Amino acid sequence: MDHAHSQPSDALQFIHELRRAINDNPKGAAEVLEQDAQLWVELKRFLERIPAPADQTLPCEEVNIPIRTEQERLREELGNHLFDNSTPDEKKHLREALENFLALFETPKQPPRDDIHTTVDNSPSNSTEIDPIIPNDGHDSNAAESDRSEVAVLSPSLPRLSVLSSRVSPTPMNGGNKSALVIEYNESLSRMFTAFLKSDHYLVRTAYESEDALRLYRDCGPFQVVLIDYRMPTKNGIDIALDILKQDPTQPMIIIAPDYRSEDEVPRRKELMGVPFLLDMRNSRLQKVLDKLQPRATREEVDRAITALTTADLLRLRKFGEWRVCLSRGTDHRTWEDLLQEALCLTFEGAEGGGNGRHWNKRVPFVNYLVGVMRSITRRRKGDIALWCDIFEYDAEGQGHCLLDTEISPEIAADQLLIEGETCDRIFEQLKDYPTALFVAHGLSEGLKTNEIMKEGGLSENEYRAAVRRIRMKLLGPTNGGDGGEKLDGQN
Amino acid sequence: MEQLAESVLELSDEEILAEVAESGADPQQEAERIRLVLRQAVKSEEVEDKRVSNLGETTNF
Repeated sequence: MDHAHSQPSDALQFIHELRRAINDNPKGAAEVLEQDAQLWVELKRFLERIPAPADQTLPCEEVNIPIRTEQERLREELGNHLFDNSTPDEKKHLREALENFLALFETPKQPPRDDIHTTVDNSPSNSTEIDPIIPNDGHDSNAAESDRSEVAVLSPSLPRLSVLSSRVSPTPMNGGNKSALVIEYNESLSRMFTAFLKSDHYLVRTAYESEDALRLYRDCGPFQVVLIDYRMPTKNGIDIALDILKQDPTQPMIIIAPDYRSEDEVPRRKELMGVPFLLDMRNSRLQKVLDKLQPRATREEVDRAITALTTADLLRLRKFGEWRVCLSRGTDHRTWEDLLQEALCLTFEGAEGGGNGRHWNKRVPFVNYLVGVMRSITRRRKGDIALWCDIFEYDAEGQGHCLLDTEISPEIAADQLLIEGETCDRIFEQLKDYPTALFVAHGLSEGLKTNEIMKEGGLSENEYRAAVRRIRMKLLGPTNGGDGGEKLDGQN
Repeated sequence: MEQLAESVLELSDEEILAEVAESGADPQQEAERIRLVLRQAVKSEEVEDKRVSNLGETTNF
C-alpha cells in the first residue's frame, strides 16, 4: 500500500491513533491488525520511516512515551499473533480490514479542490465550534448529503482539530440512496465504520454524543441503518436505541458490543429483541449483519434476476439440481424442478421469520444464491437422516425404540439409508465398463478429495476431469429426458 | 459424491453448453424450459399471496 504519511508528525499521529484504537477496542482493531503478515509488513515499513530519536515523545495528549519504545511495543503487540494459522480467506478479509483501517490515517494526495477542503485548527479546546452534525436546513436534505457526506472530527483532547468534508456522487453506484448514522464516541472506530460504510456507498453521518445523536436522528432520520456503540459515555447504547425506536419503531439498527463473546452476555439485550449485536469488529462481520438488515427480495427483483440468467446459468442450475437430487435420492422423491422451485420460494419467505426462509443478498449473483440454497436444502435432508438414526435405540432383538416422545417408524431412516447406499451401487454398476470413471466414482463415494483420487489413481488433471465428465454424461445423460443416457431409476 | 454436483459449477459456459448439446438437447430451448420452471414458482407464490390476502379480508369482516 502506498501510504500517504510522509511527515514525522503524521506518523506520530498515526501511531497515537493506532495505540488508542488498540487500547479502546482490543477485540476489534487489534484483532484486525494482528493477524496478517502482509499487513504487518506494511505497518513495519511505515513505522520504519519514522526518524525516531530515542528521546522524542508523542506530542499528543497526556501520554509521553518515547517513540522507539512505542514502536517496539507496537511491533511486539502486533507481532505476537502475526503468523497465526489464518486461512487465505481470513487473510483476505483482514487485509481489506486493515487497508480500510490504515486508510483512515491517510491524507488526500491530490491538490485542494473546491469540493474537498481540510482545515487545521491548533486551538486545543474549540471542538464545540465544529459541530460533527450536519445541520438539516429543511430544504433539500439530499443536496446537503451529497455536498457533505461525512464530517470527521478528531478528539477534543488532541491539539489538532481537523475537519474533512468531501463531495461524493449524489447517486451511489448501486443506484440507491443509502444512508447511515454512526453513533460512536471513539473517533478511530467511528472513522473505521464510516470508511467502511462509505466504501459500500452509504452516505454517513456521525455523532459522538448521545444527545447529538438523537438530535441528528430527529432532524435527518430515518436512516437505512444506525450503528450504535453499546458503551456510550453518558447514555447507554441500549437507551439511545430505545429512544430512536420511539421515533421510528421500524428503524434498522446494529448495536456494537465488542466486549462480549455472545449476544446472551450483553446486559438488557432482551429490551431490543430483533436488533442485531455486532460482537466482532471485522468488516466482513459487519457486512454480514448489514446484509441481513436489507429488506427481503421483492417479486419484481426476483423476476428481473430470472430474466437476467444466462443460458449457461440456467443449464448449470438444472445440472446441479439433478445431481443434488440424484445423490440424495434416499431422502425424498423430489425432482430437480421441485428442488429449484423450493429454493426460489424460500427466497420470498425471507430469513427474518426464523423458519427455513432464505435471504438473497443482492451482492451475490442470483445463480450462485440458488445453488447455495439447493445445496443447503439437500444437506439439511441428509442431516435429518443422521438425526433420525441417532434417536433410535435398538434392543437385543433388533427392535428400534424411539428415544423421543414422538412416534417415528425406525424403518424410515433405515430405508432411506439403504436407498442412499443403493444409489451408489447403481452408479458403480453403470460405470463398470469405464474403469477410470468407476475408480473416480469410488473415490468420491468414500469422501476422497480430488487430489487424493488423482494421486491414488495416478491420474492427470485432464484424465480426472474427463472421468468426471464421463460420470455426468453416463448417469444424467441428455438434459431433455430423451434417449442417450443411462439414468438412475426414477431420474427425470 | 457431492463433488460430482460441485463439478458442474466448475464448468465454463462453453463447456456446459457443449455438454448439453452433445447429449442431443438444444441448449437454448432447454434453458428457456428451466426459466419457465422458475417463473412457475414465482407465479405460484403470487397466487398463494393473493389467496392469503383474500382470506385476510374475509376474516377481517
